[in-house]
Amino acid sequence: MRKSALLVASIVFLFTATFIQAQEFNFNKAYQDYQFSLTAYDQAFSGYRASRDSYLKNPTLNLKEDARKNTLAMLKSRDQLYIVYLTTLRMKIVELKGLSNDEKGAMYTKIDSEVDRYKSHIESYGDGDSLDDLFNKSNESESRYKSHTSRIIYEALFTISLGEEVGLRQDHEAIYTELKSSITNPDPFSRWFNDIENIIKVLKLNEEEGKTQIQKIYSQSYSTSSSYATAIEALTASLKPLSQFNEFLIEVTTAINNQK
Amino acid sequence: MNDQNTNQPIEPSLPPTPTPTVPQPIAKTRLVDKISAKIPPKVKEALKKFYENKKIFLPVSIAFGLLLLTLIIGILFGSRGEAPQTVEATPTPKSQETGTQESSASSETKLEQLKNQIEGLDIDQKRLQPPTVDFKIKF
Repeated sequence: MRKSALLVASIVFLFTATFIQAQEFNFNKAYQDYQFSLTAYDQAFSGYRASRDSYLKNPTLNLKEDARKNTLAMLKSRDQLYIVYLTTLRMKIVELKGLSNDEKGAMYTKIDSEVDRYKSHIESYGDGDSLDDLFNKSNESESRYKSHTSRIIYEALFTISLGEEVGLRQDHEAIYTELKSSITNPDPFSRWFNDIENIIKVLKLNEEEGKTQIQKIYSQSYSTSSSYATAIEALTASLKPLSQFNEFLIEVTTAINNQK
Repeated sequence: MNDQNTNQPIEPSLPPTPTPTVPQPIAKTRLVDKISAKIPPKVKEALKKFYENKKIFLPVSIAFGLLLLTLIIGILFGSRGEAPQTVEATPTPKSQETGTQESSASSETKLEQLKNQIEGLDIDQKRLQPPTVDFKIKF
């Protein structure tokens, strides 16, 4: 009887499994996971703060133990938050079409090694760690964040913006090539195309400028935030030429239609 | 018609041909018997045992039925990741000019979509900014 029950259960499982479509792990799913981890961390942090305040008001052994347990939970949750956040950035980069495989690969290597570091750091926490041990491990995380994680995060954020912008430029260039091949009378298009090509040059220059600036993030002479801000400025400077590129192409399309 | 009949020699009366009196269900039984005869006795025995053991037969047949039902549902309603096909009227032959007009019309649509994407660009990635974390936890 047991065997047949087991058989039925496994068949029913197979039956239901066919209806459940495997949820694809993409950026949206990663972002949902990040939001979930953020909430979990916020709750763990509130728990830590409440138990810490209770212990500081009334320093009993029991309250100290509560504070220790909540500190441990919060620190683990913090490491987990960075793992999920970095994975979200990675998934965003995966889905960008404006980046070359080399550019993506370089970013994956940095993110993956950082994720591995947080994974091993979580494992370093022991259930019996004293408060002092926990404070020391928290300090380790802080210095790691300042020296490595924050730089990787800001480079990833820049790379995402760069990928989005390059993707748009490339889409416009594809339409531009198509339009160029469809014209029969070069007047006035040859002059217009010069202006469009100048815009493409400006866009490419800004992209290169941004790439140069973001690499300064790893230099000791520049701060992470200022390097990121300068790199983003270069990309922001491309927004107007990108819009102009779009408007010019609309104009060319209209002119081609009117000529027919 | 009648002439033809009168000219033909009268054939000696033949014994009446027996009309097929075998009823349909018997014919079916014969078919079943034929199939049954083809099944090797070992397999027949195993099938008989399987049928007689209701504890195994019932769950297996139910599960098989469910599996079959799943397959049928899957075939009928399952999406194959393809765009739904619509029956279109036979297109009239296009001239070269209409082709280019269509391509520029599609370019216009694409450009309009790209314009919206440019307007929606978030260079600062506000949505993805790092979480605010308090590292100062010593007490």
